[in-house]
Formats: sequence, structure tokens, C-alpha cells
Amino acid sequence: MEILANLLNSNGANITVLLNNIIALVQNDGWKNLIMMAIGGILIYLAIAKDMEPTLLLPMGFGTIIVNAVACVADATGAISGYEGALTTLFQAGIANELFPLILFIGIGAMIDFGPILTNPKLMVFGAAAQFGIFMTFALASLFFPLEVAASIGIIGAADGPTAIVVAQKLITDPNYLHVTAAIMVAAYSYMALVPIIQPPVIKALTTKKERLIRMPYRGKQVSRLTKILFPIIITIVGGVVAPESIDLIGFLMFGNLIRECGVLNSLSDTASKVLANLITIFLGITIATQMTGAKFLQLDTLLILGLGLFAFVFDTAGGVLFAKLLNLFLKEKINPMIGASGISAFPMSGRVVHKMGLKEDSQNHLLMQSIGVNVSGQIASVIAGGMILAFFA
Amino acid sequence: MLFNLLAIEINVERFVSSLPYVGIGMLGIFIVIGIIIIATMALIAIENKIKASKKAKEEVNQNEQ
Repeated sequence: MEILANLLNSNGANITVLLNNIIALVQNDGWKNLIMMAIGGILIYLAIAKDMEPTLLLPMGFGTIIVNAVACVADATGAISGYEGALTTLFQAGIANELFPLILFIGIGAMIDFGPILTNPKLMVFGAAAQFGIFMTFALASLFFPLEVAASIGIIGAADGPTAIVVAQKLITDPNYLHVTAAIMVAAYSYMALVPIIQPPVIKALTTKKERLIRMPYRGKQVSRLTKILFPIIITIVGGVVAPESIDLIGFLMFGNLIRECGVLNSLSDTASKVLANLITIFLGITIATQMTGAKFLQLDTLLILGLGLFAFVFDTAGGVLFAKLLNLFLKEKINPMIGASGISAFPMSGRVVHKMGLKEDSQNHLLMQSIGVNVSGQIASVIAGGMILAFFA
Repeated sequence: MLFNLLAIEINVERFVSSLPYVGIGMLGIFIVIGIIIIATMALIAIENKIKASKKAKEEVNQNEQ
């Protein structure tokens, strides 16, 4: 009580300053920062309570609170200063130059087992088909945005956060559209977490029950160590020759995989897939949040981009399913069209979704190996799609 | 041709100019993936052949002994 009395007695100056600050906040769009802090809180809630991509959404949510809390303070003139601090430095050092997403790719490469597609390489074609949403979204986004920006929005459909960041950072150089990068990053990561919600209705709408019941016996073959070692090297060479712009993305991903498969760097492989990936993910999430200030994020463009991102995921799923149905017109041994949907890069969520849907229709229909194989090929295809987009517009 | 919907400009000409990229992009991905599939299948086939010839040699050696 004594402290409160002192506060009130200090000739009311403190209260006046407080009131001035509140007025300045309202007059200077400070309310946007308050909304962003609430959004940060929602992201933290989704991460903790709903277990939605917690490794990314939690740092992103907390980072959003940090950058908007600082920007909420008005100075003597009533102007609201933007956040400038360690996170800004991290953004310049790790995201503006695409370093974090590329390093993360080493960790992702070290996590992936390409075995399922090496036993049946033809499955990789579904990875290509499921990139359909990227280009459809690009075309749709071009109605509203310049081609470079539209291409960056389309890449949300890659369902691959690091690729989305790299492409957006390289293509969006127009100062009028820099704010779009944050929305792309948020959409890319949050829709990945929503794969189990987005994909099933699309798959069901495009397939009949009879198609969903198609069984695909898995013929497991032994893949030699030599094949597993040569595979990342071959992919890197093919990627570098055919789509040179994708060499960083493919190279880092395949380097991580080579560390995993070579058999003599188990300690490095373990570090890359766990410690390195976790470290980068912590910094990536909280650093992306520097772009989520009220002024940058709360715009009509953001809503539009979130809508386009959803469109991209839906059309990726549709592209894979419809391509499998098309192939079934010519194949003697039919393919379950649901596996086409797992050609997106969201690994392993998409593969698991298809497997679960198969089991729901028929408890003896195990599609896990095929869907995971297609899912892994989606990783490669999404990186190539990113390279294609860069080749067109970078 | 510019329309204005909820303060967002809609540019139909740009949409039309984006369509060739859609076709070339999808075709490009299928070509690259096709090359990767062929390279992977060739790699597996070569390895199987080497394995088979090694096995045949070993069998010949065993028979000779």
C-alpha cells in the first residue's frame, strides 16, 4: 500500500506517463502489437496443449511476444520504436543469408532413411506429382502479387519450412513486400502441423471406398550399404547439373544423409540429427518471430497468404491422388491412390496419415512402407521444386 | 486488366503470364525425378550384376577346388 501511495503521490507524473503511453499505443497502431502478443500466446498454447509442432511453434510464439512487447513501448514523442536486439542480429546472421535453414537440412538429411524408395524407386514419381499445389498456388497468387512474391507463396506447398525460407529470402527483395516473408514462414510451418486435419477430407473426396481398399503388398528388398552411400551423391550430381539453383538445398540435405549412411561417422550423424537439428530449430523459430511484429504481420496480405497456403496443401494432396488414379488406368497391378497424397514433404506425418486411413478402411491393409517411401521422395521433389522456382525468378 | 477487390489489386494479365511457368515447372520436376529414378535403378541393377558375377566366380572357384 505504501508503494502504491508513493506512486500516486509522486505528483501524478507516473500515471500521466502511463496514460500518455496508452493513448500513444492506440493512436500509433500499438494495438496491433497487443494482438500479436495474443497470437504469440495462441501459438504457445497450440504447441503445449495441442502438441502441434511444439519445437517450432513454441519458440515462434515466445519470440512474437518478445518483439511485440518491446515495440509496445512509446517514447516521449509518442512514437513506437520497433524491436532491435539480439533476435534482429540472429535474423541477419542466420535467416537473411539462408544459413539456418540450410544447416537444418543437414540434420534432416541425417534423419531420413531413403531405404523405402530404394526398394522401389518408381514410387518417386508421386513425389513429383504432389508438387502440383506449388505451381497452382503460384498461378493463383500471381493474381494478387508480383511473380517473384507469388512464387515464394507457392513454395508453401512444398510443406518444407527450410525450402520456403530459402526461396522467400532469395526472391523477395522488393521493400514493399518484405513483410510477406513472415506470413510465408508461419504458413509453411503451421500447415505442416495441420497435415492430419487437411489431408484426410481431400483424399476421401477424391477416392472411392473401393480405391481406398486396394492392397499393395510390400516386397521388401535388401538395399546394400553401397547403394545407400551412392544415392545421396548421385542425387546431388543430378540436382546440380539439372537444377543448379537447388544445389545448396539438395547438397546440404544429401550431405546429412551421407553422414548417416556412410557408417563411419555415427557420432556426427547422431549429433546432426539430434543436437544440431534441435539447436537450429530453437534459433529458427524464435528468430522468425522477429518478422511477426504487428505492423508487418497484421495486414490483409497475411490473411490472403494463409488462405493461399491452405490452397497449396489441398492441391498438393489432390495432385498426388489424381496422378495415382491416372496411373491406375494403365497399370495391371493397381496402386492405392491414397499413397499419392503422401508425396508432400511433411515427413513423416503425411505417410502416417495415409497409413492410418488405409487401416481405417481395412485393418489388414498396411500401406506404411509405400506411403513413407512416397513421403521421402516428396522431400527430394520439394527441394527440386524450390530449385525450379529459383531458376525461374532468382 | 486491373480489378480492385477489398483493396487488393487483381491482375489477370500477370496470372496469364504465370501459366507457362506452371507447365514448365511441373514438366521440369517430372524430368528431374525421372532422371533420378533411372539413375537409381541403373545403380541397383549394376550392383546386382556385380554381386551375381562375384557369386558365380566364387562358385566356379569352389567347384575347381
